[in-house]
Amino acid sequence: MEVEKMSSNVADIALVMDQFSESSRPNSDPIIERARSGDAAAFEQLMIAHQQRVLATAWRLLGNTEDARDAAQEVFLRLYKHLPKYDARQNFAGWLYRIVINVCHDVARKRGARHASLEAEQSAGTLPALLSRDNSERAAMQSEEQAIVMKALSTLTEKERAAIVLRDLEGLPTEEVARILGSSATTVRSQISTARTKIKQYRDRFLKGGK
Amino acid sequence: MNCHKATQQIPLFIEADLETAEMQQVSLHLEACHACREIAAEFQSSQSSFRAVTAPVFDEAILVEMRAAVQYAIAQTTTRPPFVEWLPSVWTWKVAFAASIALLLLSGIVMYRREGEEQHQPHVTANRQVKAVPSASPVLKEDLAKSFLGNRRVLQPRMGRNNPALGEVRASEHNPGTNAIKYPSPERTTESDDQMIAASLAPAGVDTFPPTNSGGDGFILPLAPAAENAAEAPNLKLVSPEPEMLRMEFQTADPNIKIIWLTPKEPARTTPAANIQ
Repeated sequence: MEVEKMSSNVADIALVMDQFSESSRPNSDPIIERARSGDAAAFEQLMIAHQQRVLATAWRLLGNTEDARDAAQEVFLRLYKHLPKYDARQNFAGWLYRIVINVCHDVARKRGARHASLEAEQSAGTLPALLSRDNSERAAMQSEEQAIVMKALSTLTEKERAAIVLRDLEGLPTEEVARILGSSATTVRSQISTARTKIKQYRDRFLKGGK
Repeated sequence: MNCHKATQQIPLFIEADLETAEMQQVSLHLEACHACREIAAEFQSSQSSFRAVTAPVFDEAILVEMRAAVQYAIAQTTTRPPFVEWLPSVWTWKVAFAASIALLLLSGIVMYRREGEEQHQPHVTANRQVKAVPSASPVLKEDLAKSFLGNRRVLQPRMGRNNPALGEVRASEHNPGTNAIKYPSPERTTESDDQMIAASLAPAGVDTFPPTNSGGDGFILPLAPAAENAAEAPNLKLVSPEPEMLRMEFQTADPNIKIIWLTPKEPARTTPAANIQ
């Protein structure tokens, strides 16, 4: 029964991957074309269309809101700068993710704090807002688990973190993740496997220790 | 497939990251192995928690502020284009012509000024210049001259005018019996006299200095490199225009009195200043 459930989950994931592949196929978006030609209004629309995704990815990679905001700003500046070089045959989302990864790498190196700690976020007031969204016990437990997972995420190496964020949280296929990170699919699979194992071990240690 | 191999594949199996054949092998193993199935379930639970991580919802105010900052930065970069992009926008042939004329004029002025500076500099730049002393006065104390020169002869600066042969002393001006010295009259000791002496002393092919009146102090004579140390002695002039001859000028305590001494250069005394010291 459990194996059947797992198999159905795997089928669902494959379906999501197919949908992503459909949506991420190279296309000539008129907004992108206009933004490339220097249309400020079109670039503003482009920013509006991608701002949430860019901010969320940067937050997952950097671990705190302030760095994520700075990184997103830099991402759009680089996007404007390099947009004339963008090849319309490329997948725009993948191209944008590559910029996000590079910028987050630079921001993390510049700040010296590669991963913000959970405590830092709690002191900044971001996490309590997430935790107190629902007062029910179940929601509190889920929030606690999320906090643990975020803490576990901060223990990963930069490459493992980027790989698992893009693969599991952004839902990109492994080959696309490999293209964005500039490595092979085999390497990315290895990084993802290691990252999942580390997260599970951290979570198990935390939950079993709490019990 | 054994449990060890399956355990390694489970982290990728739960998200369908394996090849089709590997997926089937792991699936078959999980149906048969209860322990591995439990591990897979734990991984799925962990993965569910991980996937549930949601990024904070950013306020619209934050987003608007971020976009405004980006647009402002873009406007800053576009209003200040780099030189390579700026130049073609202001380029016209009239401006280019005016700029080239201005450049030519500027370079001409610079070259003219540089040539003028070179002309004012001495021809023999390797020699040290010694500040000239005022013209000699007819009043010279004999004991002072003796203290400097002993029994050596003192020559007048104007000697070279009447007899350009170097080192030659006119008998009428020298009394060897008493070591008495006849001193030139003030009106005869002029800068032109000194200039003539310098010209006569200079070897062939070496330019002599024109008389300079820097502060009314007289002329400047070139010094041979061997006499450079003597220049450090105050009020002392050494001239060695020819290898055989030395000319020494002494300024006494009285600024109006100067002693000029010409003597054949001796091989042992290559640096007259050393002898004096």
